Amino acid sequence: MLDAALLAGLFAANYCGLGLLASSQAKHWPHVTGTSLNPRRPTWLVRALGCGLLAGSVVVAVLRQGPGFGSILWCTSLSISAISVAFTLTWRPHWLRVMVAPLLAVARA
Amino acid sequence: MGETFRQSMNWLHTWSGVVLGSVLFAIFWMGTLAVFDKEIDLWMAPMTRVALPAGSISLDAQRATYQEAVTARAPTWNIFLPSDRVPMVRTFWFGGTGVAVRYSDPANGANLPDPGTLAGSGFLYPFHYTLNIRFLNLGLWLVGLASMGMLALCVSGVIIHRKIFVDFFTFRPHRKTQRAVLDLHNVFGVLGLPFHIAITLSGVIIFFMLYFPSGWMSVYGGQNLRTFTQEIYRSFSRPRLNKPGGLASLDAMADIVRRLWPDQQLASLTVYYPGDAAAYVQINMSNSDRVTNSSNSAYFDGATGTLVGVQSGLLPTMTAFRFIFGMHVIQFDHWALRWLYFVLGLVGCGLIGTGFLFWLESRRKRHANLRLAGVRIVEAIATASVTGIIIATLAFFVANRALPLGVVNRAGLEVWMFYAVWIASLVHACARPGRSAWREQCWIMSALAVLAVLLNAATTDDNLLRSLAHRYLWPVAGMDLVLLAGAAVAAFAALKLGVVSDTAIPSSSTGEERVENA
Repeated sequence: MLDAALLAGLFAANYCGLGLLASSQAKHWPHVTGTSLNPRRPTWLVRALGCGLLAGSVVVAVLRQGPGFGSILWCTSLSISAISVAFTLTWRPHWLRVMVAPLLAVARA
Repeated sequence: MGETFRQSMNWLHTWSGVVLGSVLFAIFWMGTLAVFDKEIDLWMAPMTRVALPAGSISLDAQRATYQEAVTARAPTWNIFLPSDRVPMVRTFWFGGTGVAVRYSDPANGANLPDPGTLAGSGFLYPFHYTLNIRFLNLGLWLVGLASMGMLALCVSGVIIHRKIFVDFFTFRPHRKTQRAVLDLHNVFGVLGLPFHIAITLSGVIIFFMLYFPSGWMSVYGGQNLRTFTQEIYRSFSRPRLNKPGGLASLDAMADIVRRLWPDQQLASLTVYYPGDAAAYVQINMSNSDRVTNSSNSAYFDGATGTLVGVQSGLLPTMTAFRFIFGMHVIQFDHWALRWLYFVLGLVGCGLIGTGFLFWLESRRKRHANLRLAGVRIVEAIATASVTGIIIATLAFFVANRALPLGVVNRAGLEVWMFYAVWIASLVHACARPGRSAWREQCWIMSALAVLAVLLNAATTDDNLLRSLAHRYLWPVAGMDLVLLAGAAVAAFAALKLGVVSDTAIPSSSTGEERVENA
């Protein structure tokens, strides 16, 4: 059960991390946020959190599954998460708004 | 070739993809299936669908066939003990008429009927790395060549992708077909790149003794392969004495091994030189709990049961090699990784398939205008290579469930069905113009996948509801569910292809313009 939860968490962290990195791109920002491209958008904050999630997921994967299984699990789940993000941006880009909106609020505050 | 480096790489990517695409798709498709080869075995051999008993089983109780190996002067007699993925006991030896295999139920030791099929591990898995062409190792060399081509395709693909970071997550299915196909090719290629490179490179490294023989041959000489393998695996060996000898209790040896490695499970046992006074026994522990494909082994004198050697751990270079090997062959118990490999294998198939489609879409109109035959020829080959091999595989499954047990050369008939249907798919692709062949073969795929599930329910007691209800039948349920999911995807693709076929597709750019378009 714990392993299943960790696996789900690993996927969630990779998906959210890559989703934030993708959202920070000028090409996807308007589709994700539903607003026009703002040159003063908090790119650094979105990317920092995205990278943080990816770094966190690799640490959890290696600590929990060991360097052998953990590294392979992280790399393979990263690829599938990335493809999932690409398809989300194609058909449901506003789903990623849930992650970006709080960061926008933080940046404005 | 082009004037610039990028144009040259574009040329290399385009034409190596077209030339090697068919072989690469076959390798990736069979490799993807091989991830679940043991589960396919269970589906194709219903008599082996037995529940794994709790506790350990007696090795001495498996000795019924030992005397047959002694009589045949077999070099080895082997037992593979049941595991989570392979629930029955497998005993095999090399007799006078080839490999003799017996299956037995671990719960009561009862012999199981001959499955009459090569199934996943006997046909699909070897196809992955030999194309089942044994003559002069030609299949292995073709696979090695294609793998080197795949690595070149991966590198050249990155070089020619001008907007690799801007288009990192970009897929635009609503743009014209050519653009959408290229987007999908890029998504599968770039986002799956670590897997594609790792799995291809590791596949080449696994066969280093064949592909890169100069290293070990320069030290050991071409005739000393046995010495080389014994030294790198630190395995025990001694010569045959050609005098009769007995075999001590295997259970007593197993007890010693369990005391040596109390946390590990027994995996297999091999008796070398059965019936000879110099016979010795190797017992291997399971390595399913780690990526590195290396087992602890103990060696016993066959006649007395005395421990004569222990092999635990490998040299650093071999540890690295066996990690790479283990990463590729995925024999460890990790269901999440197994499914991830399967999905990424399908991504690899998608990458190769969309590569073919982009080549076709970017030339379809121009070749039609100039009355060139290139698109027609490549499209027929591509269709047979992509949908054709999938249909052939499904026909292999359907034949397995349709042919009665006991038919002469049943396993051979299944294989013949595979190749006959594959050839028929090529004939169909040659006969049908444009996208019609793709669409019709997608419908055939869908129908065959559903038929396979229905036949499994009709010819065994294990319909989908029953297999879902019993834990030990989950591999069968998984196979049925994947077949049904595949049928749905194939039907969806056929419907979409029907829509595209009915719509005029404006297309004027060529493959050579890829760099400017991408």
